[in-house]
Amino acid sequence: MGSAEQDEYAAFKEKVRRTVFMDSLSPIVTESVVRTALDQYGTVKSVEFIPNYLEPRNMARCALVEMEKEKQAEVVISTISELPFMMSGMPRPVRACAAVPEMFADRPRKPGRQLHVHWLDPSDPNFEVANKLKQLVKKHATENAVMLKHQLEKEEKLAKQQGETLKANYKKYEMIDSLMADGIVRRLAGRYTLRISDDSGPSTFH
Amino acid sequence: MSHVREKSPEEKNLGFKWGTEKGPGVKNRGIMFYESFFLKGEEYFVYDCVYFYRGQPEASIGKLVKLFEGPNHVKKVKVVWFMRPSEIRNFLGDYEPRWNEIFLASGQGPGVSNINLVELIGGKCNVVCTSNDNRNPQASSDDFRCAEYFFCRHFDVGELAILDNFPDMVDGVKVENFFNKNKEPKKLGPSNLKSNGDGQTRRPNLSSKLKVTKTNGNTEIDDNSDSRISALGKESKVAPVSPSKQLHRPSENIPTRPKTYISNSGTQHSGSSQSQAQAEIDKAEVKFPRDSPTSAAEGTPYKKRKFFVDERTSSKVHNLDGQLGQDGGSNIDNQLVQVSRIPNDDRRNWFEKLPWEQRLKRAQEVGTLISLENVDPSFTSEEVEELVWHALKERVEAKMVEHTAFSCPCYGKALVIFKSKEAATSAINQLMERCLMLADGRPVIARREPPRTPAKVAGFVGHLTIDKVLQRQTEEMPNNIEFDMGMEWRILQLKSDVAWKALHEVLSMPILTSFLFLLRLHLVLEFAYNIVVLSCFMNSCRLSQQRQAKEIEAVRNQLKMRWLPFAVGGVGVQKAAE
Repeated sequence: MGSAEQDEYAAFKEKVRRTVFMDSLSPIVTESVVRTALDQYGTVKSVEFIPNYLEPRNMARCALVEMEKEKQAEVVISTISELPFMMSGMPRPVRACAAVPEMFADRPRKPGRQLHVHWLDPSDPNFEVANKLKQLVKKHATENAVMLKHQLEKEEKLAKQQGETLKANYKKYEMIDSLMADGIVRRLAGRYTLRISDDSGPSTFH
Repeated sequence: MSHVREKSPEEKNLGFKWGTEKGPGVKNRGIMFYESFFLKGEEYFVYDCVYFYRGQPEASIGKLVKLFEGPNHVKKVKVVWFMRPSEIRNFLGDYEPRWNEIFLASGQGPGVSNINLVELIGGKCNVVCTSNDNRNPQASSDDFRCAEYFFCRHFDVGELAILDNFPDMVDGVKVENFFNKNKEPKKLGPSNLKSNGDGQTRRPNLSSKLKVTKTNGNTEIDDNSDSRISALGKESKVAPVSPSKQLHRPSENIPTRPKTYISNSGTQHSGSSQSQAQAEIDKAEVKFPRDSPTSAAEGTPYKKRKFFVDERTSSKVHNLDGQLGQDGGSNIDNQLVQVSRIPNDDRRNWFEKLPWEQRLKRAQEVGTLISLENVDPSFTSEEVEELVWHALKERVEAKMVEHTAFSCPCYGKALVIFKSKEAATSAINQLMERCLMLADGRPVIARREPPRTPAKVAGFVGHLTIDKVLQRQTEEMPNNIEFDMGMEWRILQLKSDVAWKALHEVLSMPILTSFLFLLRLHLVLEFAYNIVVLSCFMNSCRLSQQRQAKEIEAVRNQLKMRWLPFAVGGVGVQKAAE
């Protein structure tokens, strides 16, 4: 015990304040990508990905990015929250929020904390209650899991929807493009005595 | 002259009985006025606020101003009404009433008061007056919080307007009777406790003790509690609990008011809410004055639960002390084993360790991987290891699973690798048969962690590609399609944030306020969960963020509004389980 621990803990707490928790990262994002992306906001001291042991593997990754100063962390969080910031792919934006100590797996312990445990035997009258509690907790865990599943499903749905819209839009543009390129448009215009300018970009087509 | 009545047969069914007499009427000697009456086990006094069911979907709220019975045994009450905002919405004008605000009816004209049969009374209602009128004793913030409704204005039916200043008389009754009652200190009767039998004493003991832990230091009650604690200590036949001497409110970790404590009505009247403890009882009794058949069955678990919560609160207090950096040093429950550092800790670091992920995988294959759930989320991995060592006498490697955007903030989980499969199995068995309780009353749950499902090779959800379009990383400005799509994702994320937060609030309430009425809570949770999920599934793509904020507010309000009656309902059924 003593001041060494407390110093460590204080330093850790300070680090937490400077750290940004980023969510919704694609699995192909690497540390250097994150670094370059966030470099515009300040110095990135370290990037740690939170390993994902328990969830399906193609789920969004999370990372803890430690910035040099607390202010920089705040700026990062506020910009990312306001405008969609996309990394290594579109259009799913990443999310950022302030980090909390529980996000760090290897955190130092709080100095001066005492842990207490005790066993309850089945003969103990509180045993039943404790059992009920256990069941409640298990239920919560399942509820959490179900909720997560729902969320993933919704994300997929949105992605699919957007994908389709995008494809449709792109097809339209392609079609227009090819029409312009083929010269059909020009001939039609001649037929109807309309004037068109000669850039064959889709943006000029009204 | 005594007033003798025969009991009519319906009375026995409704449980109706007149209380103290006031005297016969002046104009008509055949009518007898009363001070109070009993209905379904509750006593209603003159100037109580009650609910009336008059065939409308929402119950009407009124104040009893006269209780009387006519010569033909017809029991009536005269009621002055409180108007709900919905009833006078045409006359509200610019005034925006709060969601639990009502208005006293006043003035000359129809609608101010009525004479009704007592059978229409649905239950008591806790109404507080927040007007600054100097005739009105101000309500404390506790009263206000416990009140179901409040009023600070009155609606004049003659002028059809909402007014601030109260007249002297409302329908012939002095206005002081409508304001809050003067507070008299009502002691929670120590005589109650010692005079009853053994089994019964415990319950009032504990309920008031628990109220102590909730109230914000009403000193009278504190004194009583001390004496009761010693009484408890002698009488308790269950596990030797040596309750702590200081009972503070377990405040810091409980953000929400623990609404769900069971109350013991006993002989406590709910005429006016004096202390917060009283108000809790009021609330309970208001909603469910009828005795429910389940209350008997709940009787015994109720008892046990009380003790348990006791232990928990007392030990929680000490845990709090510890967490705040100073361990009070006061003797805690002697069953609690203090967990200290593992001796010879350094030996672990001598050998080169494989990276955690590989160790995890291997452990999973061999079968030595256990996940411990329901640990305090602020534990560190080392603490978990020590915990296991002390409790199960096993050296293990542990890692706390990190919090992510969707983990519940009140639960922690740790992955523990045992040295051998037998050790792991025996640990699971032990933890299942007996309960390992952490200091703040959490039972630790151990589960074998199933191997992870093989990775799906499909690409990341949400990243779209078109072959010819370049990919770049950038911020998007609002002039192209990527921005729109990005915003759609943001909306989804925000929605899910709200939903998670709501779910976690709902989940954390029972844990933090602890353990009451698990059966009823099950229903509450399901209901709240459904609401949350429903709101999640409202899948329309609106792009403005103000709309999102409104949605968030609506979900929150929905949850708040639905939560209150259910929580109270949960408490109410437990009333007077004996």
